[in-house]
Amino acid sequence: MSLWQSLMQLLDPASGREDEPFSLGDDDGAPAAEQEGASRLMADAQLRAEGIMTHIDNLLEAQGTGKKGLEQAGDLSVSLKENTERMKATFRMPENMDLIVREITVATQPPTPAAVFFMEGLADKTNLNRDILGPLMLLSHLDHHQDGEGDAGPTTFTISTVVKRLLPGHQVTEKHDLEAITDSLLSGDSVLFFEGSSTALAVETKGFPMRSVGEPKTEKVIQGPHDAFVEAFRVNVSLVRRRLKDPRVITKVLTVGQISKTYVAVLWIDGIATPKLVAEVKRRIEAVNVDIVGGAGILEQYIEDNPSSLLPGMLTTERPDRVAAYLSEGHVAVFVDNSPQALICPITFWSLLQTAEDYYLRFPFGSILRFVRMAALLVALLVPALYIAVVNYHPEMIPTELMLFVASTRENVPLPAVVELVLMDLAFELIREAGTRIPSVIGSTIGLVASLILGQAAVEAKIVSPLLILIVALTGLASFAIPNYMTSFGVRSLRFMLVGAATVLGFYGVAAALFIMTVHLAAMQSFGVPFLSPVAPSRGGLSDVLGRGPLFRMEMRPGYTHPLDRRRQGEIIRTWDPKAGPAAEKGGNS
Amino acid sequence: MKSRAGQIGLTQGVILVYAILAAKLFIQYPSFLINVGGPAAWQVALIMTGAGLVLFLPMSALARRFPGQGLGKISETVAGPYAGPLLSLTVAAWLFATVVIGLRAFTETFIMAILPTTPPSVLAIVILLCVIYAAHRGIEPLSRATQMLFPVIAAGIFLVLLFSLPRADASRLYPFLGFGPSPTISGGLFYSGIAAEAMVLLVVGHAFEDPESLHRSGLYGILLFGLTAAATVSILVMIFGAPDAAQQSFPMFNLARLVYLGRFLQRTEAFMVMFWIFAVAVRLSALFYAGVVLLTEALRLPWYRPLVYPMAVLAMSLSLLPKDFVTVIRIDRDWLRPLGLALVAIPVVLLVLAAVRRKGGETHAA
Amino acid sequence: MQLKRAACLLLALVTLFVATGCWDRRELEETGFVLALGVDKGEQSRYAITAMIAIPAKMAGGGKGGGGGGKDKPVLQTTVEAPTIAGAISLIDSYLDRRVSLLHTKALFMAEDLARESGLNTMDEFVRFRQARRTIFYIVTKGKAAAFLKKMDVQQEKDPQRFIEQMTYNSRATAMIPAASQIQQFVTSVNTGYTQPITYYAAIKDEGEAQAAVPKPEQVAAGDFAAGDLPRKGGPNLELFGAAAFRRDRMVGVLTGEEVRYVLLLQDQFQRGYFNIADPRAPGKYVSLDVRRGRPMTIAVDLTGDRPRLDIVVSLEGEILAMQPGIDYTEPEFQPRLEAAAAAEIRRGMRGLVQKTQEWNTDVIGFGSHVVRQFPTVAAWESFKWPEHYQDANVRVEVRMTLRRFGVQLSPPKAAR
Repeated sequence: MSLWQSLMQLLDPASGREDEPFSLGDDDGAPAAEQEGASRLMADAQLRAEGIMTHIDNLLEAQGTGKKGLEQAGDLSVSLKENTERMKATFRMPENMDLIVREITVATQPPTPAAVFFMEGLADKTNLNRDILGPLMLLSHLDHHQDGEGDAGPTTFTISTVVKRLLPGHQVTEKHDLEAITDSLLSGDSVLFFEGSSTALAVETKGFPMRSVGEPKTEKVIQGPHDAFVEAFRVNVSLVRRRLKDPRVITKVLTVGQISKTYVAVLWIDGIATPKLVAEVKRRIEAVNVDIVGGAGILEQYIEDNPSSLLPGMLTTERPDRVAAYLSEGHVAVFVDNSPQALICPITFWSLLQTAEDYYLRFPFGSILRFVRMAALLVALLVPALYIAVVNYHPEMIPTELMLFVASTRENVPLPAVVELVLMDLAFELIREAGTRIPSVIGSTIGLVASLILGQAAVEAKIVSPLLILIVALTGLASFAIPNYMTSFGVRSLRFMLVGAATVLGFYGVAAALFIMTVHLAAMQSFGVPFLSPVAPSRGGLSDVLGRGPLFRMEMRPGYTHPLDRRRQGEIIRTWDPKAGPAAEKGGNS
Repeated sequence: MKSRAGQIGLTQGVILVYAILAAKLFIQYPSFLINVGGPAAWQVALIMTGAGLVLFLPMSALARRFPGQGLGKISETVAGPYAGPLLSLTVAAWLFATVVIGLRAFTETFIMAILPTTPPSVLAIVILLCVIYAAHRGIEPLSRATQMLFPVIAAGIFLVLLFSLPRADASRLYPFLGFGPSPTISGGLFYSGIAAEAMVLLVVGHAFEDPESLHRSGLYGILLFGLTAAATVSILVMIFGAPDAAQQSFPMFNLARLVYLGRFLQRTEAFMVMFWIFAVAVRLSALFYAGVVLLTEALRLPWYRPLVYPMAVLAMSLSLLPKDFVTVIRIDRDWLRPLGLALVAIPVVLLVLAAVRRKGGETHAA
Repeated sequence: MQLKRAACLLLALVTLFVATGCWDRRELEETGFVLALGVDKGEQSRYAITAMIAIPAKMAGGGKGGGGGGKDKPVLQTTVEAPTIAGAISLIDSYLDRRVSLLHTKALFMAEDLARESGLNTMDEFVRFRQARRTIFYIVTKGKAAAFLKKMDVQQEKDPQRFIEQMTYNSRATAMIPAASQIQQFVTSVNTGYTQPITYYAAIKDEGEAQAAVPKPEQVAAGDFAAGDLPRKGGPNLELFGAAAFRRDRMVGVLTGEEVRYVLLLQDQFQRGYFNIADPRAPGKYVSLDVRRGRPMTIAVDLTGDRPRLDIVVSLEGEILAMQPGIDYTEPEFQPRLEAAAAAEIRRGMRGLVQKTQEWNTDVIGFGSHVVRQFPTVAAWESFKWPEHYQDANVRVEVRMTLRRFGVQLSPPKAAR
């Protein structure tokens, strides 16, 4: 439309008024949409009724074939055409284009018409061609010397023959009702219907696009393995299993979500994890009755103990080695399909401050790392609040020269110290949030530039004092040193609360807030385990909590998980070490 | 109604008793001891500890006789449905009075120490919020929190004492016998009511893992406190001299104000006071919780929480009644301490009654 | 529901606090920090109180004022007449925009004439008043305190309070000023009576002014002079030397640097110091000794006689820093002579000190804290009245000097022989 035309239209009263803009809520005065909705419901009901009718027919037919026959009697018809129609109707074909139907003839004696169903994009086409279409269409007429009877010629058609001799797919299951078939189709299997048979075969051809195993994003280590979970839970489970080659490792797969039908895998080691814990985890997961569960972070919110607490109730990790280590201590791990994180429960406060690397380093350094992190936690939590308390309430605490220096830097700043601090802290949070969302190529540069220039400019503009920049930067740095992402969020929010308390009542407010926080932490539980254990209540074995003792001394699993078997390793591991003492020879292999 | 097994073990019990008692060191309590003992105040502290330990024994004997039960249940079983609750009410009333006086005393301390122009009611409300929250959560989280805070509380006491050592002059501990043996001994016995505060353990006896850990928690807690009190008063005397120390309303605070270790470590008292607030909050919460629980049991109510808020409001209003700080000190020294000593008789009475009426202890007879 | 309730509670709290304000919150730049106080006799009122208040912008403003100090002083000074310190502060508050705070006060300068007359009235305020603390240094000034604060010119440091604080550490190095002189020690000494207080004594040296008393050579060698009489030229004009001796809360006299040294020795608080000892083999010349404390001092108290008797043994260790050419004290046969000479000189000094304090009847050395151990109870000790008995005490001192080291060189240079 040229400019002239649009001008004309504006000036022309005859062009009429514009159409109403689109709105979802209006019914446009026409009941068509509603009617369409109703008709769809009708079609659905009809489909279901048909299924039930066939089911009853099958049941009647199966009468007398014994219990097994009754179980196998599903709602499938013997007619291939009927089954195909019903499948198409279920998947809303032809409007829906994801379900592909390939009609073939199996070259058996007699040739049997069949149909292969699979979902575009979910099934692996190479597999499909090589292991299903090829054998059934081309090779099934060959002489298979069935049962050693010597009858030459093409094979006669039965389902069991197909399963046993004709389908080289590695995982083939017989399906008898439509719902099961739908499920397996949607998870990437290919389903075969045969003329004259009320049994369908589902062949495993899962092959959706998937990221390969990569580096951890948030839990980087310098020493130690660099593999991380991906979005496919099967791969994740296998990554863990590779580290725990024990038949007692159990993977229980549950399905959660009415629409998403997300697989949730619960992992534990039978004989170590206490059955009470496993039962509780399963109970909580089974109780989740929602439409979709998008990932681990969402499932966590449904099943954790204290949803309103600022600290997480479960440990989120993307490292298979951590999951393996926790499983071996009697914890339970939960994998959610489509989510590259595993959830570990129960957890304690201290595990939020630990990383995998603590264990890969020799023990003094592991301990040092943990102390540094503990200090970082305190700095991130307390330093801004203490600064406010000292500067506004107790200036006598600063050595006089330093106090006079701080005062001299504050001379030109018109804002109260708290406002200064909160402003700078907000700016820092802004940089952090922007840094996460900015495309990664420029992200780090922007973050650096923003923080440098902001700080410098704020000082030059006399909005903040230089010491304050130092404090905010130190705090920000310290909050990055907290390894757990959720914890660092919690600490940052608590920090603002403490600053508030310090502003109102100085040290008194800080102390009161800290007391309430401590009682809150002490009252928290994660799957029946007090959050602060094993420090309070003390359950022994502090060597792996605040610091990290030598690995060869950690003979017991932590007591707070109540493992069935407390002993982790023999009393003396380094039996060859003369320093292990005379008991070494005796105790070594007991 | 069989509730789940208690969770408080030995360590937590000791720390709980210690924190409950040690919080008293931050108010005028050390001055009381120095007042009766003069330069020999440390002897008063030791005698007080010894007597306190002895007075605790009937309580732990009672707890052993009725394992897994609190004082309210025990007294009802032993003394019958009317006398039992009455005894419980007496103890609850004392605990409550201690909370009220403590609330006011600590408020005054903090006003003096760090927030001179803030209205006392604000400070009282804030610490009461801590108390309400802790009491609401119950004794087990409280004792766990105490365990977490213990290093800080201990640092608040011992760092002050340690940093004061360079100023200490041992000759101020002389004359060795102070005002003479008889004032020292009678003073020590007078203040041995510390066992009454340890009665909190008996009140929450159901929360302990076993009676043995209750017994030992009480003993170790009182012992540790006694040693700390002895160290505190002797350092106070060594630094201020007995006449000065006896007249101070906040001796520990004054001690903290004296810390002067070079140009960079001085004037740290505000920081130390922060640590003390933890101990104070623990003390008030534990006493308050015990009082409320005992009241609940005496009134045969099913659940203690509904009582927490009204009682807290009551405590708040009562604590504002005394005219000035000196009145508070007088009430504490001349009423609460002797009453606490008298209160220790209740477990003894219950124990005798239990023996006479052959209640409890059958399973533990051996 | 729960969230709503929490939000309501939070809102209530916030309103409570916001509505009532933040009572004790005060920004640094709204506060005038008093660094030092001076107290003089007032004309209209009881005291004239001088406050030295920091000007932070000049203090750390970036080196332009440095060096001479002089005009660009980082402090302002004001004097008010008031009967109490709190009264003085509220008066200063009324004409200063910033609120005056004593939280960072480091030193209290008291004019000598006032110290000799006035009692504990001012001290009580430092014990009771929250802002002022007992760690403030108590310094008696020769002459007016206000003039002292005004003239004070500390050349090396920008900030006068830092100068004072550093000066007090000199006790450890020179042992010519008391070990400590904070209000705490003063109050406790007055309260217990085991020992009488001594405080720092300071003076301003005016270059132009003629010196009142010129010390004699042997006095110079021993350090037998007090602040204001130091034989020197140049440097900061402030002198902190010797001590003011008190009896209870009244000042009774001035102790010279040498005497303070003996006080420290007899208090067993002496760390180290350089002594110039008259050379026993070369009259008129001096051997320089670095003396340290040896074994702990012992003191035996005997109250059985009609006069209290104290037998004191002080043991010291010496290092020769300088000797006269040709006289070699490293040789074993000469060492005892030097040791004896040094011990005799120190002993003579101590006796002089004891005599002087007995004349003043004030036990600044603190023999009382040894005597008190003889009494079982407070009643017995108080009835004995040691402070009055001090002048009768028979104090005997024995000094044991041992030469341990001889510097980095053994014999003096041969060439000088």
